[in-house]
This record gives sequence, structure tokens and C-alpha cells, in this order.
Amino acid sequence: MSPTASPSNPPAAGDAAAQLGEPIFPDRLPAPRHLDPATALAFRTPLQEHVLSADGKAAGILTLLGMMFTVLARFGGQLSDLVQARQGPARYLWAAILFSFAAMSLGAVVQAFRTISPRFPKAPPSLAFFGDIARLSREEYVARVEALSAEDALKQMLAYNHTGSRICVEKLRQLRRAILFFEFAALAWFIITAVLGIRVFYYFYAW
Amino acid sequence: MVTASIDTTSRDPRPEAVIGPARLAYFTPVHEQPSLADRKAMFILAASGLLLTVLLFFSEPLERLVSGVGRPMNQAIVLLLVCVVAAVLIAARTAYSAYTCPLPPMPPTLAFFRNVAAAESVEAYAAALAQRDHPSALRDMLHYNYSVACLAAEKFRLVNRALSCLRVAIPLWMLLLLILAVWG
Repeated sequence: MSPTASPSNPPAAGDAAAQLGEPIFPDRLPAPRHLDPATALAFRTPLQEHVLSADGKAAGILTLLGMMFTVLARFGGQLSDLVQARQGPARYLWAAILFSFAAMSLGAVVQAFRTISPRFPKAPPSLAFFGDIARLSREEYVARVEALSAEDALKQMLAYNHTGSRICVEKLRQLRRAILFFEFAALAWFIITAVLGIRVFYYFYAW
Repeated sequence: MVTASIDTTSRDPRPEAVIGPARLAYFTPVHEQPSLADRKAMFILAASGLLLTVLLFFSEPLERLVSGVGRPMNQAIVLLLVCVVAAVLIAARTAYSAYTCPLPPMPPTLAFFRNVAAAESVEAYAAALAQRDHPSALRDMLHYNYSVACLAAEKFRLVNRALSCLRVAIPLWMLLLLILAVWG
């Protein structure tokens, strides 16, 4: 493969026009002859897909929990028989399992909502963040961006990336807890539904 | 085919003066934010629909439960039901407002599809683009970014309000179904 980088030596420092290469396409801004790796990485750091992934998983947990509660309510009669049995220690066991399921589900719901809308960390304002842009007037935003130097523009993007990454980390931390709660809730639900299923099948078969 | 030639570099005396702002303007990550808010709004609408559907599905057992228990208990269940339905309806209405939130008006800019579509032909569009130098193209992008950022901020404000309602509604709904499952 032939190298795509410019083979020329770097131009003398201070010669700004010489440091800019000819644009590849007529509709593109001229790029520095040697692409600045920091700028390239900063402006293309992929953050958004991680946010979407965490939100999607949290929404999935809420949906699955909704289905679990619906199934339990559907078999309310049989579940009531288990929990309100007149005698025997089994009723306490079933009440404990049901209580565990409810408590773990509540924990999963709280954590899932914290994943979807986390507390934003304190961060310096950035002209790359929509919330900070929307707080300015249109004229102020345009004037501020137009007044930026290349270095300042990079700093704005770095501030955005850093805050965005911290939000992603916080979301994933909450999501991990939500998944943990959900797994315990799902275990309790499987035990309850398995027994309910067996009982329903047994009564149907006996009848 | 676009036949008009677009040679912006020959007309722009100092492109290096705008390279920093232009990088930020063209790569400002605001464009996906409204879609993200729309996804959340869609989830809230779907979840609200499911919650209400399930409640309607269990309306008869609920009615039996309310009429079968004593005075203070049935009032508590009815209050719980009213709270769930009210919170779900408010969440759904707010999420729908977020979903249908329009893009704020912006000055004429060729970064916005309506203005691009308003050109009579591709040639007219290309000619309008050819008149732009780097600073004016940058300003077009900034105007577009600003409107999209305001749209995203408004959508997220509504979506967060709807999520607050749903955050109350879902645990109450679960409690109601548990009561129905055990005592219904």
C-alpha cells in the first residue's frame, strides 16, 4: 500500500499558509498538512452509542418487569392460595419469595430510571453541549463560536467529551446495579411462576 | 447532476481564521440529541399504553377487590388506582408534547432541509451554495446548530418531566398488581 500522508517535510514554524495543505475536495476546508491526532480524535470520539445502549437496556429491564408483574397478576388466584395457605411454614416461604421479588423489582426500577436520567456531574460549560448552547441567545452563541481560536474550539470539544464520558460511566454504573437487582427479581419470579405453572397443570390434569 | 462549479476556497481569503470555529460548528454533537429525546418519549408512550392496557385487562378483578374489602382499604386502593392513572396520563401527554415539539424557527440557512428544498432546482441550490464563503457557511451551520440545540433542550425538559411521572407511576402500578395477585 502506498502511504497517504504527505511526504513533504514540515514547513517552517509560523508560516500558517504553508502549514495548510490544499483541500482534497473543493467544498472542504483546507486541513493542516499533518493531521493533528488530538483534534481528529477529540472531534470523532464516539460517545452517543454508549448512551443509547445503556438507555435501551434500562428500558428493556422496565419492559420485562412489567411483563413479570402482569403474569403474576394473571395468576393471582393461585398465588393467593400459596401465600394465604391456612397452615404450614410454606406460606412464610412464599411470602418471603414474593416480598423479595417485589423489593428487587423496585430496586431495578429505581436504578433503571437513574440510568435513563442520571444526575449530571458538575462540569465546565461547553459550546458543544446542547444545554449550554440553548442557554445562550442565538446572537451570543454565533458570536462566541466565531471568536474561538482552533485551540479554544478543541478545548470546548474536550470539555464535552470529558463530561459526556463521565455521564456514560455513571449511566453504566447505575445500569449494572439495575441488572443485578433484575437478576434476583427474575430468579424469584421464575420460582413463583414455575410452581404456579405446575399447580395449574396439576389441577387441570386432575380435573 | 449539479453542474454549477463550487469553488469556495478561491474566494475565501483567510480560511485558517475559521478553521477552529468551523471544526466545532460542523462537528457539534447536537444533531442526535432530538432523536435521543424522541426515543425516550416513544418509550414513555409505549410504557404508558401498556400500563393502562394491563389495568383495563384487570378491571373486573380490581372491581371485585374494591367491593370485597372494608371501608378504609377500598378507599386506599381507589386512591392508588387514581394516582397511577393520573401519573400515567400526565406522563403520556407530556411525552407526546416532547415527541411533537417543532424545530424553532431559524434565519435562512442552507444547512436546513426546508431551505434546501425551497430552491427551485438543483442548479439554483448549487448556485446559492456557491455564493457562500467559509464565514457565511459557518454562520449557516451555527444557526442550524442553535435551533437544534434549543429543540433538544425543550424535548429533554418535557421528557424528564414525563419520566418523573412514570418513576412514580410504575412502582405504584406494581404495588397495585401485587395487591391484586395476593388479595384479589
